[in-house]
Amino acid sequence: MSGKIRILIVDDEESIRIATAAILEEEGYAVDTAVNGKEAIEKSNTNLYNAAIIDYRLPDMEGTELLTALKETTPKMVKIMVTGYPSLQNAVTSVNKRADAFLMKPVGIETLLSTIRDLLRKQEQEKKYSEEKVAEFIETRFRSFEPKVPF
Amino acid sequence: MSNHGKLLQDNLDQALIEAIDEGLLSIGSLPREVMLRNLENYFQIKKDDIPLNLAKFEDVLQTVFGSGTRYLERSIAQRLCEKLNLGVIGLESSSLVGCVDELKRQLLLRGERK
Repeated sequence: MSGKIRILIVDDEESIRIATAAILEEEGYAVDTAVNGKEAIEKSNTNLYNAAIIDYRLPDMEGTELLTALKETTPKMVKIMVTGYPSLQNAVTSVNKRADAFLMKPVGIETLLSTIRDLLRKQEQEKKYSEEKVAEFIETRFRSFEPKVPF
Repeated sequence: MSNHGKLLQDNLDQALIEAIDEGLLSIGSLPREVMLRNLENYFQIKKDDIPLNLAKFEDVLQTVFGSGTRYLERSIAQRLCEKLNLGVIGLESSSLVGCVDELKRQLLLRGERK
């Protein structure tokens, strides 16, 4: 992915979508929003996002259901679950569904930004590691060719 | 080759080079760099010369990536079709070479209609 880092905000509360988008855009991220799980799935099928911030309770599905759906289509996207109803059960379910972070509302600006930065840094490191492995694989495969020019 | 034919071939080659570059980038910038470097080191094929050595390029892809080659070939073919403003050609029963030949035929037809 080239250009700006793209983040999808999934929340049915308009005020939260607007406020979070403003904060993230101020930090230089490209932001898109979805009001429910269905819209989030549709958008993630047609656009590439580096990260998604997902409300635990959405009008049409649980945030954890959305996590499962997004895991299938965009396994490498960073997924941050946000909830106004924190409980150990919610946290455990989110982690089991492969959320990368679990934050409680109201989320502090610095907490949100540092969480995003840390996870995106980790994502970048994993991407780099993965590319290095593919590059190593290509090098190995080429060694199976006979060199055309003797050294 | 007529002037029109030469121009068409040059445009196709340029679009193909760009499509290959972008297609290889889909597996990462480092893998792309390693792929192109080795293609030159082992086969003396520079990126700009791939259109002239497309069958060999396809053979190398097959040897390096095995069944994963289809993903790359589809990715390249799709980009090429977009660059040439032609309908996407499926690669289900065709090779990349076959796809490029078909696109060239369509370009010629389009030129004749104008």
